[in-house]
Amino acid sequence: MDAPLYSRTGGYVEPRLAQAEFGVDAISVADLLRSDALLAVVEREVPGFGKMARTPRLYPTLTNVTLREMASFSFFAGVVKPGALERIDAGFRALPTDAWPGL
Amino acid sequence: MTSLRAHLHRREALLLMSGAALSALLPAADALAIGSGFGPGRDQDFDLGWRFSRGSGLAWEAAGLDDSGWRSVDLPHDWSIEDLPNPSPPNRVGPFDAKNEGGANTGFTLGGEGWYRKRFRLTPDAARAEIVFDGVYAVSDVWLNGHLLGSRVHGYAPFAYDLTPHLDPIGDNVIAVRVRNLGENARFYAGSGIYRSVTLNVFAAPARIALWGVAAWTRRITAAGAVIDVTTTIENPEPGLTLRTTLRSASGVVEAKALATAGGEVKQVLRLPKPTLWAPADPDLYTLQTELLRGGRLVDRLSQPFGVRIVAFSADRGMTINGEAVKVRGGCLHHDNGLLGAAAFVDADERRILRLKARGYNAIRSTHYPCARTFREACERHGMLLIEEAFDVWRMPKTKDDYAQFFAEHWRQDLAATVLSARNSPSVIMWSIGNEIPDRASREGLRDAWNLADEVHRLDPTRPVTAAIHSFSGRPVTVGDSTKPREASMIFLDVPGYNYKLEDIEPDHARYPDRVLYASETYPANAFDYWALGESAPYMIGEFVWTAMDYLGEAGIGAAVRRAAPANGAKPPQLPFMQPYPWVVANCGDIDLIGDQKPQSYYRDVVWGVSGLELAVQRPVPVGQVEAVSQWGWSDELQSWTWPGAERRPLAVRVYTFGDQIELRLNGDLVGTRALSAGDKMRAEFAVPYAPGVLEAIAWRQGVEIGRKRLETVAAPAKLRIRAEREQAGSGRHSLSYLMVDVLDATGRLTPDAAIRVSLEVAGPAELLAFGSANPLAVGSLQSNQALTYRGRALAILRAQGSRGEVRVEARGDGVEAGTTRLRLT
Repeated sequence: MDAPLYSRTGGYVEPRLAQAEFGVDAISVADLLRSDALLAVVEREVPGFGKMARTPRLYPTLTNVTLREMASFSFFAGVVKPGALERIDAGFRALPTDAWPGL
Repeated sequence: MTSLRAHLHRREALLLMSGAALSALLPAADALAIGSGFGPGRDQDFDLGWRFSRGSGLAWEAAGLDDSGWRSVDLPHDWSIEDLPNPSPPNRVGPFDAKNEGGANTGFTLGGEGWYRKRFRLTPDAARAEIVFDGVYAVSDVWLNGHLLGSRVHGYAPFAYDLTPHLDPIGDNVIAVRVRNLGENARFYAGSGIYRSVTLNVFAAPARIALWGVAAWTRRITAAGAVIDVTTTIENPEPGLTLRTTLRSASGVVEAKALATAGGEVKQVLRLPKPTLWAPADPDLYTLQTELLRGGRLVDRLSQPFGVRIVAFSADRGMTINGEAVKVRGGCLHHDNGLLGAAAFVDADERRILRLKARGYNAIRSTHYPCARTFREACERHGMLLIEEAFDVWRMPKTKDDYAQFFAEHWRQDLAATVLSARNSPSVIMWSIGNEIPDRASREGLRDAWNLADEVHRLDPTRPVTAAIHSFSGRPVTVGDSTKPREASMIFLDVPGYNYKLEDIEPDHARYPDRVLYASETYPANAFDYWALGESAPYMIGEFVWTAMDYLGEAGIGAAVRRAAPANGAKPPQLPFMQPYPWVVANCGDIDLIGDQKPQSYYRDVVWGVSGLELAVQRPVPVGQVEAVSQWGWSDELQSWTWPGAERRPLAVRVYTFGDQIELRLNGDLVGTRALSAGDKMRAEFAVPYAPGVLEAIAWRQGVEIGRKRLETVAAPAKLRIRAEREQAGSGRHSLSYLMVDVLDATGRLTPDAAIRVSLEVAGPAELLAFGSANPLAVGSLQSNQALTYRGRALAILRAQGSRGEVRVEARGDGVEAGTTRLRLT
């Protein structure tokens, strides 16, 4: 048997966003905060969300969680009311694709 | 363990002076007297005879500073585990202070600033010297004779300095090291100081093998033998030098050899006709010896352990080692050695590995930084696989003063040290470029991920790049001409790690059928789910539970605490991520702080087939209260049937078994039977009204009895027993002896919940290095001769003082008979 090798790939090529389904499970909270249109959808269901989520100590966490995941955290207990995520999801899907932020 | 040291650590101090015979070795490094000169030789012990002062002062780096008033310390040394001055119980006890800046993250211990100084001389034939630090936390600055050699900021990666330009060849030389552990820079207990070993390389000539300058890997294994490629970098090469590379068997026989003219970078091939392969179950090691010769005389020699093995990954077979599929039974592990703090002793690291091997572990993920060399070498000797992780953060911090502030400037240097220093280890199977990295999927994060992965592939193309990915993996992206999108967080990973993403694994396999993956962090309660998935899914190579052993810091993330019962039978509220002081230990380990099994370990024993049956009882929950258990935690269970005050109350009895039928008896009477199916996940629970006596569980599988466990009600604590884990140990300063203190009843049974204050007396050539228990709360010093037993036990750790002899240890406690033991240091 021969050992595998993990070769270098040459120079850096920046990844491109692929066409993908939109929705509440398809974007991090940090990214949705970068879109006024997305944030407006969230704020309709969770007033003050943008201010709450932009807490500096919280921000690193938000780069890697979706709104649904964040809603399950103990420090967000009760903030997102039942049914709100489904309405936000529908709101996201109703937006034009250019409302979604780039990388 | 220390007796193995000379053999295992290859701390040969070879005389390289003109005309010296190859066999003329210096005494073992431990035997070098402080103040005697260091002659040519590699890997010489530089741990002994340092001076230390906590705090800071003007010109403490100056060669002429009078440091005679400073404390004498021998490395490894961690000042954060030492007792704080002015104790004020309960808020300031031992090394813990409720007001510490690091808070629950660091287990309420203190950092600060400390200085180390050491004087040394060289022998007249020494031309060059290099000092190698295996790890200093956090930020270090090193001076030689008042000249700044450099600074390091990683805290865990090894580093070295060339001392030559500022050496005094005939007089005293003074190394000064400033160590600063300031602010909120860690999410866990890091320790403070020179907590890993320091070694000295001394050379008789300018030409030498470069630091971490040998790269060896097994390229091919066939019926005709093994082919090993070796690339060696020579510094200051001169005409007339020869490079000789050999592989020696464990018995010292040369089994492969290659000679070449020594230039800057030399590639050689070693052929082993009948290789003995390295694998977790059979970790046979060779010694890879690299020698630089001039006309038959030795100029430099480097020896290191080497294992002949090929590790490969594929979605259809998972991980294979030498062609055999191997499932990872792994655990994440922080670096601290429990009561010793971060101090990395060979014996302490070896003990951790042996404890985990005994529980069926075959892999460690070194979280979230590279482990000590002592630990890695113990992995090599005992067949433990290892994922070495370089970073916990990149540019975006997790705590306000962490490494993120240094990442942009230092990542390349620190990554190189991590990879180059460990690339010949047979244990290392992957390089992790990060753990739960914030902002990993942004444009900048993607660029960093590529840079890190590319640099790893440049430094070591023989192992895959991984990272631990939690929660949202990022939006799908493509690169270049590829039309196959992958999640942004994983686009540059060869083998992605899934943190707590059990539910994502099978759907992701459906989307990415070529992906081979593993669970890089898991909850203890999911042991069965990951085992079952691994059995059926070859692409999922196994799991790393968070964590294999308890650690200091991240206080209480595995807590089980009592709460007032919510109204209407509702579930108790989720626990916060960490617990307040006096919690100081994470409490999420399978194995506790002193090396004993916790209830989740008994369950894992059953899931992994180490045991057929285990039995535990939940501590009685007071009326009106419920038990709240964190995601990383486990119900407060004991292998005990001694619950005074709970008579006639129904207690939760948990039976763990891979059997399909169980029976429970109390004092001979049948309490209940249960048939188990896969849906039970090897667990059953009975409510048993408590009555003192004997509780017994019996398990069958397909009609055959596979296990029988008894728990007996024991009497009140009556005496102490103290046992040395080894009756004989080395006498060198690196030699540790572990002694367990048990609280027994009058008939000699362990009292499983006893809390008794014990004082220890040590007589003989050893000092008490640590004494404490597995209690996750701050209850006192970890270094005084007094400790409070927890669950009937406490652990004493002795450090040999450098001379042979008998050590007598006596343990005394209020109202109980004392216990004594003896051990011999040779």
